[in-house]
Amino acid sequence: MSEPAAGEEPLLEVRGLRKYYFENDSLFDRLLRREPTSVKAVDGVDLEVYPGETLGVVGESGCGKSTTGETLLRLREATDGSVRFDGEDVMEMSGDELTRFRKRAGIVFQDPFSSLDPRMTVGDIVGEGLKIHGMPEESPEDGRSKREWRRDRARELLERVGLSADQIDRYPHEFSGGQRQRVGIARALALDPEFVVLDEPVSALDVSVQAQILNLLEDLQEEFGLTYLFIAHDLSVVRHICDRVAVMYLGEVVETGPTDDIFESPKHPYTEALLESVPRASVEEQGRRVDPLPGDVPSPRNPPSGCHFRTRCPEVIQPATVDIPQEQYRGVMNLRDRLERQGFTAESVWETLESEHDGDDFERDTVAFKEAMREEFDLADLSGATMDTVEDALEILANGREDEAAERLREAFASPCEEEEPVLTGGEHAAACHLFADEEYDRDLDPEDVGNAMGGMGAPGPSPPVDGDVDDDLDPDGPDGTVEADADDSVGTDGDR
Amino acid sequence: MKIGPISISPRTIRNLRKEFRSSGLARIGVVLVVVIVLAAAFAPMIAPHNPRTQNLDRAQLPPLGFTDTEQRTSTEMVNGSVQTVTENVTVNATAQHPLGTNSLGQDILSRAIYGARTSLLVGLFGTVLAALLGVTVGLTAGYYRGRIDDALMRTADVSLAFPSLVLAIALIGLFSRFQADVAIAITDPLVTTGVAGSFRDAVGLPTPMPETFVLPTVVILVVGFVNWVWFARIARGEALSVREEEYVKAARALGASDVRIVFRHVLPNSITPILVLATIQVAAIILLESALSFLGFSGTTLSWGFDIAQGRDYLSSSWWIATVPGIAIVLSVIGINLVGDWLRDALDPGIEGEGGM
Amino acid sequence: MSETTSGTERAGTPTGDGAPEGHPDDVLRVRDLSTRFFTEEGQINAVESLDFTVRDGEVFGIVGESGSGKSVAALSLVDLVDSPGRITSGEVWYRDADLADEFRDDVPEAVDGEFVDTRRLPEGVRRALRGPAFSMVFQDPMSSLNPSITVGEQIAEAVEVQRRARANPRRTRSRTQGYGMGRLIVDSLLPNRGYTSESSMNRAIELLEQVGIPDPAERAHEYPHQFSGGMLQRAMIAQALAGEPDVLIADEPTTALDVTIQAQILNLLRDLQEEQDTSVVMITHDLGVIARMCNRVGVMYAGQIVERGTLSDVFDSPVHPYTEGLIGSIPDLDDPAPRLQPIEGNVPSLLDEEMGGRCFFADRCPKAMSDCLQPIPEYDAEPGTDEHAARCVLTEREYDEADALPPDHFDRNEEVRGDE
Repeated sequence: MSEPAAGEEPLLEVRGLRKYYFENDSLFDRLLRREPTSVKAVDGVDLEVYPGETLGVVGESGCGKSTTGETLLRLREATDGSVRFDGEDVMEMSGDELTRFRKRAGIVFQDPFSSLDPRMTVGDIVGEGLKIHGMPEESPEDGRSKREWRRDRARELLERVGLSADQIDRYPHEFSGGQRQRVGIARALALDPEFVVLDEPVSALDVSVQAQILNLLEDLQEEFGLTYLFIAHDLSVVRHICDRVAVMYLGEVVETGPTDDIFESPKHPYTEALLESVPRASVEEQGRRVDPLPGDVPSPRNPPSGCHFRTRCPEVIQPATVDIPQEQYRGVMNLRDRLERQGFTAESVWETLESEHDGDDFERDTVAFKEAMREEFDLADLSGATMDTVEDALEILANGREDEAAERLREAFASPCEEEEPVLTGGEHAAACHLFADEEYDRDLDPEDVGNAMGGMGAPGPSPPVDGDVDDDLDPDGPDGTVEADADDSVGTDGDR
Repeated sequence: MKIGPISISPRTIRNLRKEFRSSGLARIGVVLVVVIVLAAAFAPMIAPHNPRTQNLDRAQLPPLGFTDTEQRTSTEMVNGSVQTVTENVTVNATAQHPLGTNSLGQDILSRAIYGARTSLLVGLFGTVLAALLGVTVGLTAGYYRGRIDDALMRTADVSLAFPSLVLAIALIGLFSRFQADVAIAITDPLVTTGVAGSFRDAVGLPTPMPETFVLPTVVILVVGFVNWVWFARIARGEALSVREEEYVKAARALGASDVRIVFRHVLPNSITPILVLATIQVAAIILLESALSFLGFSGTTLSWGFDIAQGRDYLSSSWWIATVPGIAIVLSVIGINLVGDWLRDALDPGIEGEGGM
Repeated sequence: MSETTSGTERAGTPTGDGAPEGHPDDVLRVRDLSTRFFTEEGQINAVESLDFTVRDGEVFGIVGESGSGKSVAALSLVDLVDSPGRITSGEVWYRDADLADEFRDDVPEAVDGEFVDTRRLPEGVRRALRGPAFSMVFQDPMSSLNPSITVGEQIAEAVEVQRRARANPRRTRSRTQGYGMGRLIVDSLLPNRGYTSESSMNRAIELLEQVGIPDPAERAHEYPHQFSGGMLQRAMIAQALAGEPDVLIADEPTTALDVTIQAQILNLLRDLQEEQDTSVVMITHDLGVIARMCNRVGVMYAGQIVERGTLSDVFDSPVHPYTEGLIGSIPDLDDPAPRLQPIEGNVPSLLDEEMGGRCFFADRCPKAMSDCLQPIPEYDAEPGTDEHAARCVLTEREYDEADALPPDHFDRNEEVRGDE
């Protein structure tokens, strides 16, 4: 593992990569003139991978990390964006160029069971790349046939990944999961690639076997000078093996930076929450309560406007006119969000009230309705002008006018986070979050300069928020002084919860 | 073991053997099929008579174990006037024609044995043709998806919409407009080399046997073309699922061409259901061929369907003429279907590799 | 029966009739539980003489890798092992004073004090215990719920069954009435009649609310595919809670979920367990989940609990080399250690013929000695307490290189070699 040298050119450079899938796009749908809906699996990803390093791409299922890996190798056609490998545009390659690229960039897949053809021997599997690329180009001088040469090479590779050469004629089903994964690694290495995408290579394996494979990958990287793009959802594995990390959420990179920075002083609230959620295997973990992110990841068919994370973010920025505790603001936002997504109707609340009511003489009482809603969305402690607005909206809602109620809330409580999509700012350790970007995008600075400026201001966070201590104090002493003032309110109250 | 794209692992063989041992039906199927195949292959040696030799003296003899009463009418001069005399004559079966003879005095057993040749050859060649056509189309559609898939599979759906018999007859009509011969005669090597003749002399069977055998080529083309759709559908379904397997992605990442991926990865991993379908299709095509020759579209007279058509007129008097080839059809179809079931059961559970958990 | 079933004698645990001794708070005492699968490839010893106890209101964790038999152990507890599997021996003592009184005269060998051995109770009674005594949460909520029935109805059905069972306890008939032929015909004619009464539906909605599903009244009428993975797992938990069980068995309840959702579900389980004072058996491969949730832990390997004790016994002073190896295999989130220390080799097959009467871990163990080639009983790691125990000779003696097995002792045709 080596740190990227300053000024070094990236081996792989991804810019604005997008991959949309279209649903309702068959002949039949077109005949019926149905509009295709797009699923935005990858929605504008920028990455650089420097020679010899391991870049981790981490995120929850459905964040688009595997699609990113496959799209940048052109195993799937990208919808938009550019990928440059060693200066050449991968998206424009064809014929021989593409074949040469395939030789230089390999991939290892997650599933050790479906990634090996069950009808081929492991020797054939490992040697397939050699055969495809017509290797060896000339008959070996020692009188072996090309076929023998390939077999010998497959034997060498099997030995190198920790299997024994005399297993060359066995079929994949005769191997355990870990051994199959070794075969998959040998296949990827057969063509002497410079760059390997490791797509969750250990997540299907048991921990003891996982450790074997991680060690093997590290050794191979050192021995052959490989560059890795390591896709994973397991943060501890990423911490262990990666030099730099990119955190993805709903098709976008929300934070990127050197591994230690990300893990010790995460900037983006999502990264923080992710780190906080992981259960540590140590005694101190016992009984630790985490404040989990509320709700589920929204559907990539209809991602939230602005910052994709705002629907779950514990630190949503309030508009200048509002200043209430974060959880109350979250309650208001949740209410609005549910109304806007047609998640529920006033009628269903009435029905619930009716079913809870014991007697027959149920009357639709607006006061009870509002009471129930306040309880459901934690709005009881509101006061002042905020309360008036919310009461107003609830009144409208109780009368069955959901859209109007949502509109009322939107007027008063729209967050900057939903209006503008944040961009990655902050130089080497960058986050796509308005908490860190407010200042800059107003001034319309070049991100490069902003990064330097912030680097100058920032002091490393004294206490990593992810130590195993049993506490709820999440307060991340923001690495950059100016922005912290903005975020302080919300973060502070969050800690008190 | 490896046969083309089909690799047979010891595990498969074990499954086949186990299923064979545990299932009585599988055994019955295999025995039936083996008997029919042997009979068809060695027809010139084992058929008791030349199936084409007519002998009107011995017409409509019943099978062994049955007697038949036949009304013979003769005109006689009695007392100066012509009288029609009807007498009931008992016709006894003879060991020379164990299954009796037809209205032309041809030996029914021999015709049934030769009919098996026609049925099996049409079944096999027709299936191979249908499979080649259908699998190519299906794999292409399933692998490329999108518009290619739409176009190919809609074509398949359209041809499915026609009843197969009607489609077959229409196609035969089409073919016969362009080509005079609906069948070709192939020489029978067993006869021309004299192997069959010397064998028959040795066991005391009458010679000579027919030197040529008629292969109804148009029927083969037509049944192949009528049945390709089934293969296309199965192959497409398999290709759709196999193309999503990670090993296909892995091959693409290594730079493999589409042709290589389809033939090295997709086809071998789709072959099991295709094989099972092919077995069952042989039976379906045998039925279709019988129907066509029953209706007189075959181009050969040595066919079970043709014999049934011949016997239909004599059902009330000589039931065996139509019944024997009918039973032959039923037995062969049942036998092949049982073999198909056996293959399906043995190859189905956990295609190799799934057991590694 | 294989010879490997022997050797469960343990100082302080009398075998034979009567419940094993244990802590006064025990609600469940499992002794010598063995489950075998009789397959074509041979006999598989999935669970091999299991011993453990679960106390009132605690979370007992069972941790193991895939193939260690932990899920089969869970199924064996609730008697849900399907053919070709069978529980071949063992006792599951469950504390229930009423049940004990009921069967004291009829089945005296199944009763000891307040404990009853569920294995010796009649089938119908055992079935009646599922729900009010034991209930289960499975790993894959998507396949554990019926896709063609609404979530609310499925939970209501569980409520209904429990309600009938309570009205007429221990009777199978009472729980199945209304599912007869007549009902079937009526239901097929009137498809929307449903199997559940309004009151049980209301209870189902309450349960959904309790497990944190927003808009429970509305979501109850949705089908499983309309729920996200985390929501479905909540619904599964609601269903398991319908019978207000004494012991909740959670088999990898968060394995299929993302970490942030996992955190939600773990919090929920913790809250429910504290509110209702339920005992939980938490089965997982994730040592982190164990650490966060459990009071006491059993480590499973090759069908056996190889080490058990409190969380700190097992995590901070493990005796068994397998436990040590497992802990050494995990990359630390807070400290990128330079090198992991994996356990070499692979999990054994559990095939009876390949097991042999030895410590099952000996072939991968860095400290295997000649003593390990015999069946290993459970030893107390700290004499005097019943808490920390391990199936390892190292509990009794120090590792001695003079006794070490030669490295190629198990290399008959083993292919695997570690990286180190």
